[in-house]
Amino acid sequence: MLTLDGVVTTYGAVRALDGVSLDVPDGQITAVLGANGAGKTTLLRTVNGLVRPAAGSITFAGHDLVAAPVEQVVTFGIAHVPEGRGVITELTVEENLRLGALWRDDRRSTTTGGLESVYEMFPPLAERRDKVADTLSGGERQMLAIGRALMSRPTLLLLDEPSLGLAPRITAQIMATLRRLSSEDGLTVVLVEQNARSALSVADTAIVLNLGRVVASGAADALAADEQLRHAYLGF
Amino acid sequence: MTFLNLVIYGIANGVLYAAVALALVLIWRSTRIVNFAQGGMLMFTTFIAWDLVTKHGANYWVGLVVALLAGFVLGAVAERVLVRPVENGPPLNPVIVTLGLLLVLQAVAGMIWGNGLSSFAPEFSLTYYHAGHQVILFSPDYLFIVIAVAVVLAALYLLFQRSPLGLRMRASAFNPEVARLLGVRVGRMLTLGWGLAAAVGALAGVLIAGTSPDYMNPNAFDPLLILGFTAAVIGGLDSPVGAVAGGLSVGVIQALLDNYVSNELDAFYSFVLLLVVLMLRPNGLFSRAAVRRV
Amino acid sequence: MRNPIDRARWRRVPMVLRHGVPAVVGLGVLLAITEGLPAYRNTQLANIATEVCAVAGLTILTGLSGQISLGNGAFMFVGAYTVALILEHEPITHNGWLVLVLLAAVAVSAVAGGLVGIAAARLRGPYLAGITLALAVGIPVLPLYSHLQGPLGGHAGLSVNAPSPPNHMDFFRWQAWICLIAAAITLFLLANLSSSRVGRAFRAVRDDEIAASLAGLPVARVQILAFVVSAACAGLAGGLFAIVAGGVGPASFSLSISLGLLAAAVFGGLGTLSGAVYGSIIVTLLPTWSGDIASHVSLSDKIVNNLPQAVYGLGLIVGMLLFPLGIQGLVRRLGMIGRNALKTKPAGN
Repeated sequence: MLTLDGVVTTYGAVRALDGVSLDVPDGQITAVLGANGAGKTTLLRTVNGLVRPAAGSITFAGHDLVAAPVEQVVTFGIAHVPEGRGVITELTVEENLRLGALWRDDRRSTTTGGLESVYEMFPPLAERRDKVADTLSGGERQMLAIGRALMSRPTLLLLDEPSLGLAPRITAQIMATLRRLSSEDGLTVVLVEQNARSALSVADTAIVLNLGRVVASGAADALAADEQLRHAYLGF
Repeated sequence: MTFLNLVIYGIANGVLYAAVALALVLIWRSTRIVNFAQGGMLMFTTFIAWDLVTKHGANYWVGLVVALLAGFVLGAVAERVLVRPVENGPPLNPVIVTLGLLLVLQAVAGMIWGNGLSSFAPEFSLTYYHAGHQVILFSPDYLFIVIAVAVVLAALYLLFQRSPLGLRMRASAFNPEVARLLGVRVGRMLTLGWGLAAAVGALAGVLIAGTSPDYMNPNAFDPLLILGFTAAVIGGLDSPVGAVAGGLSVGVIQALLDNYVSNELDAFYSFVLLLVVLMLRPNGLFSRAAVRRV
Repeated sequence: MRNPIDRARWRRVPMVLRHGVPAVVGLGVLLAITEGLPAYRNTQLANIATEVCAVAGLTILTGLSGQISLGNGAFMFVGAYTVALILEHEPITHNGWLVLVLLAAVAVSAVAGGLVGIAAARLRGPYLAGITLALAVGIPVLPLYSHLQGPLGGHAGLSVNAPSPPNHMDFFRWQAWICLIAAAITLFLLANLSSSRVGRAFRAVRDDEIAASLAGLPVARVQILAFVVSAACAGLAGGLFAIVAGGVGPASFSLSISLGLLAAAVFGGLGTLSGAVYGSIIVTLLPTWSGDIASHVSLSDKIVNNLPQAVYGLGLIVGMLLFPLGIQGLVRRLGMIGRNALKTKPAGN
């Protein structure tokens, strides 16, 4: 279980996270919602160590994430799909995918298997395996970023705005894939989204951030039903 | 025949500029820094090899290998100690730091080995080949140079394109943050990249020192740096293939101008060549439309 | 200038006076000092003043307008050869003539600076550094070209008829005077330029080119102007060098001259004119100092000859790693600490 306790992250005088506490249950999809600047991306960057918190603790499966170097976080079973896809555009599709599994020492025996299952999950990637990632469409890049994250065989997947700039049909496909990964393979997912409606449609639980604080949390369908909350923070 | 001969001669020399250009490109790709100390580094490692071979009677090949290793260490240490602290500052700072290192290396070389001229005899003959009565401007030494650089290029290609380590290094160069998230130790990759680049430069240094007598002097390698930089810029600074193409072009252009205009003006030619290339294509002739502007 | 009221009053003083008074007073003191000095001290003063002209120009270019140049030695070359070509056969008989000759050096190198500046305005960071490095190495080889060997003297260079001093003044003292006056005028003009609209335009372009162009500044023209100014200063320095050295040759303008200028500007603190003075003193006197040290601890010639360059190099590295603002920044910081100490003491009581 991923646990945040009283996490404060500051950029100069700005408190991007102001005492965030959160339990992410195993095997579920937890949506992190909120407006622009609410602290959603900072939350993910603090979890994986790209930004260090000023106070508070973050633990995952017995590992102290506040002290761990960024490079080590993936070895705890945490994979990150950064905002704006974060595929390395100069590398080919297959190279991007192989990179995801590189930290494993047993790569020789497992990489091909991993590659095949990602290609099976996202057939468009299989067709373009030797193409440079620069040539992919937005949806394909998102598939590649998720596929690459899965290559590391994570137990926790962090996604930052996967629906950003994608057509609704592609967004729905990606959400369905996440749902399947969680239900069938028991993957834990933290899904940061501005698109609250589609995130709540697949999430089990959700929290709402506003100006760095958790203003609401609970079961996803309960939050979706709360009209006042929706109007105040979620914009639908 | 003269023209063909000049082209052959130009390519043989261009191979060396290509190696220096490649050393600059490898570093530019990974850290967005032009290593102006490269000329000083390869000068210093060549002096180490020369010292071993001529003063301590070491085998030429031992000298060459030691130069490559020394280059690797020098490059790696320079990255760790000098470049890392200024990497994310204003772009002027790494330029000044690498120039400072150039000055220090030249001064220290002068302190140890003096500022006179000395010769570094090559392992292979400098006598030109003949085809019947026709002299060909190509010698066993140049054959060795071309082969040595080609072997290094092939090895680098395999390392970068075919090995997991190379994949890690490329990922670190193109997108350090994503690479770190995927578990790549980016800092280590940058150090390794600087080491490899400096080793390639060290090879070029030892090879060029043998091409003419009385070559060795702490300042003698400055033109090599500038020709290598010109080649790298022609290639777009970002592309290893462009660096090689740029090196060969610079070699041939230089050979032609040396023959048809004057051979006293090499340094002036590189200035004009750079000026023309940068005015036509500020991002280099071989660069793809700037993928990533930093 | 300790409190804001003083400072505001100081700001109201016309700029010409604000910079002119220190320049004239400083110059007067220095000129008076030359009286009792031995010849080699006067030559040292002349060398420092020459270096100041070039370094001040470079610090305006690199520190104020944000364009690096590793090639200002090439503009010194242009200025020095201009003077040498004029004075090669014609001795200076009248002091007004000397002024004209130096102005010619300034004008020719300013034109050269403009040409390089046009190219430079399109280039950034390492590209600019690389091409100016090529400039520094590429221009001084021109006298070696067989068709230019006649007029430019090849390896041997050209000799210059030194101007004769007025009224039986000491020869070396007169040379120091020429250089000191030139340096004072240069500093005065650059100080005014730096606090004028042009100086603000330089800074605006340095800080953010896009913002500057959105604010209506012609960015390219501002950058070219900075190159012209800095090349003109370097040309003046070259002209002074030709007169003091009594001749010019390609070897006098090696890459290390250009890098020495950069070192001086960095030592003093990029962008500050007073820093240019400190930096020039250090860079000019380093060889003498290292010679003195060496004679005390009896080092070999190899070490002595290379010591100054090692110090420049180390200075550049250490300067960038530890004191990115240079000596002037250090002085200012110490001043600030001192001022704060003065301020807090009464409050504490």
